[in-house]
Amino acid sequence: MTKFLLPLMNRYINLYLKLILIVVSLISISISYGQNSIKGTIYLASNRVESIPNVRVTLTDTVSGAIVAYSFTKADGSFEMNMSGKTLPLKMEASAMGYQKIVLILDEWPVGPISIALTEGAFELNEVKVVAPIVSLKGDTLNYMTSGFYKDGDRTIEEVLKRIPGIEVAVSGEIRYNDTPINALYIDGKNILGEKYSIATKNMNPNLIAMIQVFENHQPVKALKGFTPVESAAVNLQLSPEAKAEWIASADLAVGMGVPLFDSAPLYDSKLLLFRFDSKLQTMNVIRGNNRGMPVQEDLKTHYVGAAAQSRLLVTDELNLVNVTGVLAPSIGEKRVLFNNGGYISSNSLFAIGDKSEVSVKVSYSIESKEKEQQQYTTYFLGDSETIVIGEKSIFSGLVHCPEADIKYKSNSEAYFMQARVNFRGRFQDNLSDIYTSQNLNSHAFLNQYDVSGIFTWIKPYKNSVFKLSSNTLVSSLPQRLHIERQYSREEPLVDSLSQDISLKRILSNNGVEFTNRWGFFSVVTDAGLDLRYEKLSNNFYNGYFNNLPTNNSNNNCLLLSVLHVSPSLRFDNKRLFVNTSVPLKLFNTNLKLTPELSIRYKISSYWEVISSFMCSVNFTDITSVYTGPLMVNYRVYKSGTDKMAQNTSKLFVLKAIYNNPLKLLNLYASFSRSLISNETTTHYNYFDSSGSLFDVAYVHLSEFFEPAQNNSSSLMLNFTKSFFDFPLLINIKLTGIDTKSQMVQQDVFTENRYKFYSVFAALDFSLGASTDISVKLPYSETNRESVLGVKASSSLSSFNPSLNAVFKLSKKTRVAINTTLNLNELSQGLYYLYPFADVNIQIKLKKGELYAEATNIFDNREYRYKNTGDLFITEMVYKLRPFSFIAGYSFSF
Amino acid sequence: MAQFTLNTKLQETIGRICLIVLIFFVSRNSVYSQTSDTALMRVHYISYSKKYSDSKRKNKDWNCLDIGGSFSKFYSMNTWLLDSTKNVLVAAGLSPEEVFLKTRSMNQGSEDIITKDYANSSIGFVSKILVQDYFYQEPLEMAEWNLENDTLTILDYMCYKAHKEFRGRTWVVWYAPDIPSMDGPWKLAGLPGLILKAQDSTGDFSFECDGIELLNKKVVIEYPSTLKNARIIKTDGKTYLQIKKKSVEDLKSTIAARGYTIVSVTDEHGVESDIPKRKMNSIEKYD
Repeated sequence: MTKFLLPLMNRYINLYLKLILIVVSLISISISYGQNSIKGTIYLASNRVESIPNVRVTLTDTVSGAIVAYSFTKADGSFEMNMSGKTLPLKMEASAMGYQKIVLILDEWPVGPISIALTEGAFELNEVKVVAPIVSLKGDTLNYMTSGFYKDGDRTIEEVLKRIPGIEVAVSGEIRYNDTPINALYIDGKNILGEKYSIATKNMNPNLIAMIQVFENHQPVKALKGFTPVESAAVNLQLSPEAKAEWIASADLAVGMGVPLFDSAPLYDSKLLLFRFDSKLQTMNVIRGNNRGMPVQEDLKTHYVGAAAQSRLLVTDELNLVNVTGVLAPSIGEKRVLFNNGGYISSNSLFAIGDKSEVSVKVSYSIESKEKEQQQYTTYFLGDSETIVIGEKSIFSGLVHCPEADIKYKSNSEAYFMQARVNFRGRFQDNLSDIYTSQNLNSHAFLNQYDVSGIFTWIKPYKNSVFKLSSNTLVSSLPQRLHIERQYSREEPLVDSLSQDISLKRILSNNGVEFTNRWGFFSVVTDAGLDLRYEKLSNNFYNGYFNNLPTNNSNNNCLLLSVLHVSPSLRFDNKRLFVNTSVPLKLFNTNLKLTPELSIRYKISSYWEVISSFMCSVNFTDITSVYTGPLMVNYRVYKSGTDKMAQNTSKLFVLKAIYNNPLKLLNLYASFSRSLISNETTTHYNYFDSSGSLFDVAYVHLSEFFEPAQNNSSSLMLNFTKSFFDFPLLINIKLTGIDTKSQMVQQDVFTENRYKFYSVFAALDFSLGASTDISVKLPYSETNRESVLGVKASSSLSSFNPSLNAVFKLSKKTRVAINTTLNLNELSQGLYYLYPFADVNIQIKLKKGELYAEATNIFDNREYRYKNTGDLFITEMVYKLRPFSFIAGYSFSF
Repeated sequence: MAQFTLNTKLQETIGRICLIVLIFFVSRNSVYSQTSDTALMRVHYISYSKKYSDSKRKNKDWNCLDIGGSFSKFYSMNTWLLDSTKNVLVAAGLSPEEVFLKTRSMNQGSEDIITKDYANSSIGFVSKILVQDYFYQEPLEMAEWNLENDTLTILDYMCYKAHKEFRGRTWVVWYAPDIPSMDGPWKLAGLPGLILKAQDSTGDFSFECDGIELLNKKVVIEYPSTLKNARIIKTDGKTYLQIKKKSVEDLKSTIAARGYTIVSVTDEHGVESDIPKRKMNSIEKYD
């Protein structure tokens, strides 16, 4: 039976399987005959099984090239084209992206289905025109095409930078990213300017820059990558191709007039920028000058770049041990009160030595004459409700020269980092002030400063560790002089005079080694070092015809402070929780101090974050607080020190809570801080009237005594923000409160003052269509000062300064910007002074350059009054303002 | 029990058939179940659209068409850049106020994202009206183009003219046969070449290609129906347009309908006023 059935079954199984094969074939392949349509299927050549959808199949006339029929394959790879009325021959083409094209010539209609196999391959376009996006993200780098952020009217790259998300540019020119100062500004990847990057940002035309890159968490030292977390960012200005390896120059020339027209000196503002960037040499040279109130030193400011750059100078500020009066600037800005004439020249070059090393040479020189005029009325609180008001008018003029030279060698690779830098800065300042008070005085100050710095850093990584050796030394000399003369009358010669020659020599040196070890989330950092501070102050008085103190007097003081420190730190960072604890042990000469620090940052959820920190620090007073003197600061203020260093201990506690819900577009921010400062010394303020005094004018004597004093301060800030993504509208309200208590001795009476400051700030930003942007700011502040103990004195001041800024784009080439501010200053209870300010700027683009015109102080305000409070007094200031002026200019590149 | 053995040739035949059937069904299933794709090419368009009938102004936008093997995605690059920049700033810890200030100079484009599924001949449409996301799906209309002989060179590509009626407008387009893609800007597709330029006969809406790039880096296109977004509202094209029209022409009611109470409306001088009403000019009309 089996013998019979098996062959039969095999036979029927064979037939059955063949039938299945035919049926399956029919399902997957359609068959068509005739001339009404062409059908077929397209497969993948590698297996001839997998169908390819979305393949274009075209039939074109072989003569005209016109497409006569076309289709696209379906999901199963099949296609069908209607051929009614079409004539042969025809060219059939099957093509799809990612596959090589197949071309067939049809001389006769296909009899059966067409089966086409496509091979995978790169699809080539005739021409690829790549359009880079405005913003692209790559790891920690954000790339911004300048064209996307450039607005008509931008004349420097600084104006474009302000619009880059996350970047703020302060009035000083300092660039901050996410509220932290950047640690470097590169031009085409090279850090040619160091801390003086405003030379580039305030002078380079945006057309020269193709892309702005922001390197988040930028570690400029390659050997430290992965070891030392860096929260700050760096900015790279990538040059346009046409600006590379070429000498590029741009110029800006403007002239104008003030009022009264033709009677006032003509105004000018000029700039010439010449630079070249190639692989071996980068050089940037700027010559700039103006007499319209813009301080020339703005471009040459040394900005804070943090410790990450490993080349921070110990001291960058100008120190004036003495000075004339009349040099202050009001809250509305220096450019409204400064009458100047000056300029600077700056040359910066970077030479590449191999791939990893470079030498930079920077030389600059600035010269500027300045004039200001101000009056002040100071009310002194003398106790027993007694006050006295002293009026004074100062007409200030000054001339300052500032040369600077800087040479740096740097080798920066993953294997090691080495940097050696020498910097020289000089300042020669001659300030003169004519003072009209109860007497007519002439105050003359010669303020010189010479700083020479040397910095050496060496960093070597090894497996999970890194070793660092650093030394930073400053040698500084400040020979300064203050000379005061009293003129009795125009007819009589000068008969009273007093000169003070003061000289400060100092050597500051910070030297240390640091060892970092890393294991996963933990890092242990141990650093040890020796910091030295040596200061010597000598002061000589030479008086003319006075009978009272100080007479010919010579005094010298010097001090030496050495700080031997060892500081172990433990750090934990897993992105959600960050804890850093440090226990520095410091030996200040013979005093051993422990100054612990703790900081915690915890991200509770995607909306909530809490930050808390505690810091304890110990400082010792410098030579100006030690010098027993007296030291004449200006004609009205004298200082005396304690004869030996005093210790100040401060403890700072900060707590912040942030609620940020981007889905609801709501942000709440609360910050509380408490500061406790304990001083070993107390400042004594004493007011002396004119009788029996120098020059017969009243004066104030500040002296330090070893009596403990406490200064405490609390501050609270609340911020509420609501914005709408679908409407270009933003509402922001910020409340700030500061409460400070300070102790002093005033008129020999122990006094405790309480100072309260409140402010409310509201801002509205919105756009009207595409051609108008409007920003409204409403800041209000109130200051209350009262004495809790001792000399009775209280004051309360408020100010309200609403501003409205509007930008109108009249056409593609014309733009008008109007800035208006209303300053409402309270000078006494219920009495307010109102100062409206308005500036208008018009820009018109021409083919190769730009014409611009600017009108400043449209309402021609000539003076500005406001009050401020101090510990012993309250002062009403009156500034002479620059009048209305008009300037027109042309900027171009060549 | 009888032993049943098949000869070698039969075994091979059965095996081959099973393999064919298995691959066939697996491949069909993989096509139909595919929810994402990798873009091979990006086409950049500059578009102009007249949003309001009562205004002559046209909004300019920068659009991109990412084309993959199975899907394509059409969207506004201006909107994408703005959204991704905002996301970066938010991730960096900035408040919405700071985010707004930092991004206010960036252009805001269209919110529409159109994903075409070639295999299933469908379009997935996602957009936003007053902070609410909407999604609808509709067939991808490819047929009924009228091919013409006129030619035009765009970006060094020889383009041919075609036209058709689509959703209430007559579209005149220029397509490049040298680029073997059926795709085009917005919902336009179905020609034997990539559409490089399209304009409706009234001139209210236009798209013109100003850049093409082959994508070396991986760009994923995901069909919107697979997006796990609980906040999105599924609807159809006609209803979506009605909602949009309402939000433009009667914003007050639309806001009230969302459950908000309008306390007052004032103009820039603080004078009581009404919310201005506009007349929407839609790129398409449903019957």
